[in-house]
Amino acid sequence: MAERDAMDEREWTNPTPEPGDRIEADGVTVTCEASGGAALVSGDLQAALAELAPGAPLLGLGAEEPDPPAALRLARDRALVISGAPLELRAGWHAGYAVSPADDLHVIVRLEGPRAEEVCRSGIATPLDGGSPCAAVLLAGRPVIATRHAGAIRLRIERPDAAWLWSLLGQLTR
Amino acid sequence: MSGWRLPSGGAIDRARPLGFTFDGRQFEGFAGDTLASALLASGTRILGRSFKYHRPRGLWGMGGEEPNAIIDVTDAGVTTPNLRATLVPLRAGLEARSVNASPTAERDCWAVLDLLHRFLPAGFYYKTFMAPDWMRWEPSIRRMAGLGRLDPGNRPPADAVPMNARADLLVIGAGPAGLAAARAAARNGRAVWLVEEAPAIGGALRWRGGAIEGADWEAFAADTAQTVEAAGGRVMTDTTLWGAFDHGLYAAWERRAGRGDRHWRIRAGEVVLAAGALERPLWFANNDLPGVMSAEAGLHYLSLYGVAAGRRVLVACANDAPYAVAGALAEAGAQVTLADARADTPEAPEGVRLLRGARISRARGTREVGAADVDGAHLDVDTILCSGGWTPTVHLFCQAGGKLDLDARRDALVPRPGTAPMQVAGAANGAFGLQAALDEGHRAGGGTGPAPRAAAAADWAVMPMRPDPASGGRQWIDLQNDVTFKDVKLAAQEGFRSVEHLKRYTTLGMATDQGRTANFAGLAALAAVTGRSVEETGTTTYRPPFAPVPFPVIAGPRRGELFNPPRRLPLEPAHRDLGARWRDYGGWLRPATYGEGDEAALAQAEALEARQAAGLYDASSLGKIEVIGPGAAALVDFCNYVRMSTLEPGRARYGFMLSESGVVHDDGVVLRLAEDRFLVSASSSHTASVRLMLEEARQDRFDPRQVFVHDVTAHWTTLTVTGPGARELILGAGIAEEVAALRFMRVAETAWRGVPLRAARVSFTGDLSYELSVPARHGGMLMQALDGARAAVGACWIGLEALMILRAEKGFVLVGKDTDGVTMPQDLGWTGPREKRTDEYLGRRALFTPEARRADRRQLVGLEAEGEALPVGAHAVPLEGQRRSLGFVTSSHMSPVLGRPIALALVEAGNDRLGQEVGIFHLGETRRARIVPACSYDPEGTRRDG
Repeated sequence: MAERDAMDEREWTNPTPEPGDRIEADGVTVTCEASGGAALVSGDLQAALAELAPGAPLLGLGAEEPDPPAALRLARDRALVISGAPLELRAGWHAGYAVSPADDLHVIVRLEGPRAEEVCRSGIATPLDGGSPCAAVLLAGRPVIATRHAGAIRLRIERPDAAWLWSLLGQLTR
Repeated sequence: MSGWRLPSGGAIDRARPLGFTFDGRQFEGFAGDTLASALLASGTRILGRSFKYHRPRGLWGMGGEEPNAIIDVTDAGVTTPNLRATLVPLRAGLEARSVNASPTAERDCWAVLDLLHRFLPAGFYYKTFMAPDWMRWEPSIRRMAGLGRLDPGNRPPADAVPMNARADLLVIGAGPAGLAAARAAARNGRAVWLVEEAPAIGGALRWRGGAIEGADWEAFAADTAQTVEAAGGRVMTDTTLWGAFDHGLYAAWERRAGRGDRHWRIRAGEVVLAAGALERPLWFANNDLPGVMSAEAGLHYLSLYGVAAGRRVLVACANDAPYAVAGALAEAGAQVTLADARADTPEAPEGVRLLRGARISRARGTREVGAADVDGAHLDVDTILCSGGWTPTVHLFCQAGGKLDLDARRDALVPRPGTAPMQVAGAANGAFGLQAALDEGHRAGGGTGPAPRAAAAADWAVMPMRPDPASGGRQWIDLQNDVTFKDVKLAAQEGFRSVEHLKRYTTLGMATDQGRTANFAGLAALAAVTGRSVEETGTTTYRPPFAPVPFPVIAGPRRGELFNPPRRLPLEPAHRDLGARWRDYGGWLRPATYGEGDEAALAQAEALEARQAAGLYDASSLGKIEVIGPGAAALVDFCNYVRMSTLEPGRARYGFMLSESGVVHDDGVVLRLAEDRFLVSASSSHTASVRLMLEEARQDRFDPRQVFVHDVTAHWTTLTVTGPGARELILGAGIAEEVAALRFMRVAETAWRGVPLRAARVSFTGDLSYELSVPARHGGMLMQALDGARAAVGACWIGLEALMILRAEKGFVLVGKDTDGVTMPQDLGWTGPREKRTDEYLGRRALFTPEARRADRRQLVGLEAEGEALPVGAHAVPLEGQRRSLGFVTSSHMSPVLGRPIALALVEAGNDRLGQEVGIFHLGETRRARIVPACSYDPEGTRRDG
C-alpha cells in the first residue's frame, strides 16, 4: 500500500491479536496469550484480597507474577485481581471495597528473548526494575500493566489499543 | 580553487577513494571525509547562495554551527534536505545539491538580486508587499524563499527507534571538560552517560592535540571511556543532545550508519554541560565571501582530513587560539600572515609573518577571496581565517531556564550559576584553555584530588572585537539570513530596540543555524547603536531543538497505521466480513456504512431501513464507567447537571456533564444498577475525560474511601438494536422475554446463553431500542445471534453515517458537534435543573453569570429548507439588513424518512425566532431556511416503545 494511502484510517486493517499470534524477530518473540479472569478492585485492598484471592500477592511494576491468583496494583487504592479463569464475583460494593468484572478488559502480550527489555524501553519511559509499587505504566502513551513472568515481560494492554500496540511492537522489534 | 589535500596526514583512508557529485559535477574524496572536507579539498569554494541576496557563500565552520554549506543530500535513494556539509559523512555515490540556487550555486541566475541590495533592506517585505495585498505576492515569494527542497516522492524509511533511558549523570560533550567530568564521576562509581555530537570523543583535542597526565590525550580519552563503561555507564558518539525539557528530560538523536537512527529520551539525575564554545567571525567589509572561514575550522580540516583551506592564508584575530592554526598551516606549506588586533601578542609561530595591532578592514574579490585590506595595506591572499572570539555553547543551559552574565574578560555570555539544573564546565562556561577545561570538568564530575594535568596550561587571552560602525561596505552579521550591521542599525532606528523585535524584523538568528555564529555580534551591535550594554540588551529565547533533527527521527515508527491510533472494536473482523467501511469517530475506528456503492446513498438506505424495520449497530465504544460505593449517588449527582440520585435501581436517565465553566462537556445516560452502583455512559470520545472528572471530584470533594470509579469500557461489547422490529429481532435471537418487555429507560442485568447480559431500553434514534452488552469474549456469539435473526424482520446493520441521520431527525445532540465551547445546557433547552436544583454540582455557578443569562445566547434549533442538504458550518444570517452571523449549521442531512433536508443549528436567541426565515450563507451564496424545533421527526415520541 502506498504510504499516502496508508495514512487513511479507512484502509487500516491491522487486527487485534488473538491468543497464539506471534511476532518472531531477532532476539525477541512477542506472543499473545489467552487471558484468564480478572476484576478491578478498589478500596481496602487487603480486605478485598483476603476475601477474593486469599494469599495473592500485590505486585508492582516489573514484578514476577506467580501462578494466579495475584493482584496487580494500579493505584494507591486500586488493583487488578487476576485468576486462571473468569471470576465469579458479585459486582458492586463489598463493605470497604468495590468490584467490577474485567475479564476481557485486557489483551495479554508476552515479550521474551534477549531484546525484550530493549523493545520495552522503546515505548516505556519508566524502568521496569525501578521498584515502582504500581504496575500501571504508559507504553507509547497508552495505558498498560507491565509485569514479568517466567523470564518474559508480560504486558496487559487495554483491548481497544491492542491492534495498534501489537503493530507498534512489530515495528519496534525489527 | 584554493583548498588542497596534503599528501599525508589526517584520519582519512587514502586507500579508499569515494566518488560523489555536487551540483551534478563528479568529485572524489576518501573514506573518513565529511562532505565539507571533501569539497574543501577539491578546491570548490561556492557551496551555496545566501538566503536573500543570493550572494555566493562558502564553507565557514566545522560542525552544527555551519551557516553557509547547507546541502540537499541523496544517499542510498533517500533524500534529506538542508543538511550541513560539515556533518555529512562522505559515502560512495552520494549526490549533493546546493540550496537556494538555480541551476547551481556556481551559476545562480538569481545572483542579480545582489545588485539591488540597496533597495532591499531589512523590513523590505513588510513595507513593500502590503499593496495590493500580501496574498497576491505570497506564492512567488514563497517559491523563492526557503533553502532545501522537499521531494514529494521521497519516502524516508520509518526505521528510527525511540528509546527511553535513565542516567545517573549525563555529561553533554566529550571534549576535555566532558572527559574529565565523566572520568571523575565514573571513578566515584556513578553510571555516566557521555554524549558527543562528533563521530569520536576528544572535542578540540582531536585537531589541536595535547598531552594530559604526561601522555598523549588519546590515552586519557580511551581510559575515560573504559572507566565510564566499567562503571555501568555509556559513551555515545554521533549523538546530538538536542533538547532540555522539564523534570530532567533530555532528547538526543543518535545517528547509526546502515541502521535506523535512535531517538533517546533520557531522564538524568544530574547533568554536566561541557558543550564547548563556537568561534565567532570577525566583522569587516565582504566578510561573507567564499574563502573567509573560521580559523579553528582551518585547523580542524588540516588535522583531521589533511586539507589545507588555502595556499596564501591570512589569519585575522584578537585572541591566542589561532596561533596554533597559523603555525600548523605554515608547517603544511601554506604562506601564512597573522594579523592580530592586539599590540601585546604571543610570539609568531615558526614560518608565520605576524602583524601586531593590525586589523582587517575588507576582503576583496567578487566570487571568492582574492585579497584583503589590513590597516590600509593590500595583502595578496586567497583565504582569510578569522577568529572574533568565542561564544560558549549554552543553548541547553538556557533551554533548561538558565540565565547568562557577560564575562568582560573573556568577552562572552557565560552561565549564571544556580539558574538551571545543571553544572557547566569548560569552554561552555567561558573556561578557554585546556587546563581550565580539565579543572572545571573534574570539579563538575565530583572529582577529588587534583584534576588531570595538561602540558600547555595557559588560558587563552581574548580582546573584545565588534563590528566597526565606521567601516565601509557591508559587514555581515548573520550569514545565513543575510543580515548586515546596517540592517541592525536600521531596525534600531525604526524602533525595534528589543532583541526579540530585532530578530523578527531582520530575521537575525533565525533559520537552521539559529544564529550560532551571529547572535553575539547582533546583540553587541544592537547594544552599541542603542547605547546599552550587552547585558541590558539581553538575548533571545533559546528553544529546542539545539540542532535541526529530521522529522523521521522524531516521528520514529509512527507512520501509516501507527500514526494516529484509533481504538478498535472487538468485533471489527466480523464487521469487515459484513462489508463495513471504516472511519475514525471520536478516536474509535467504527463502521461508517456497510456494502459497496456511494457512501451517502448507503447511509440513506440504512437509515430508512432502520426506521421501517430495524437496524443494528455496534455501540461498544460508548464509555462504561462504574461508580460504586455508599458515596456513589452523591458523586454522580455532583458531576451531573441532571440529578441522578433520585433514580431507582434498574432505571436510567439522560443527562449532561458540565465543565467548571458551565459548558456542556458530555452527555449520556446514567444507569442505576444498585443502590450503591451506577453506570455512567459517556460519549466514545469523552470517556477518558469523564472518568478523570469523576475521579477528580471523588478525590477532592468526597470521602475517597466511600466511592470508587472503574472504567470498564473495554470489558464489554455492546450491540444496539433499534427500530419498530427491534423487539421481534431480539426475541428471535433467543433473548429473554423479560428483556424484550423492559420499559423505556429501564435496565436489567441478566444472563443469556450462560453469559452475563446487561440490557438497557435507551434510544439514540427515537425508536424502540435495546442496548445489549456482554463481556467482549462473548460479543461474537451475540452478534451471530442478532445477525441470524435480522432477516426475519428485514433489519440491516447500520453504520455511524446512518445513525447520525437518525439522531439528527430527533434533534439529539452530539456534544462537540452540535455544541461549541460556550454552549450551556439551557442553550439546548435543558433549563429545569438550573432553575430547580439548589445543591452544588459541577458547573452550577457558571450558569448564573451575566454571560450565561444573556438573552441572545446561541440556542439549538432545527432548520427546514428546500433542495439539497444545507452545508455544515454555513452561517445563519438575517435576510434583510446588514449581513452578520446569527449562528451556524452544526449538523445537516437529507432525511430519507421525511424526504427533505433537515439540519440542526446554534442560532442567536433561536427559540425566539421559531418560525422565522433566515439566510444560510455559504461560499457567497445565500439560501433560505426556516427555524423550527430541533426535533423534526416524531416529536410526540410515539415510536419510542415500538
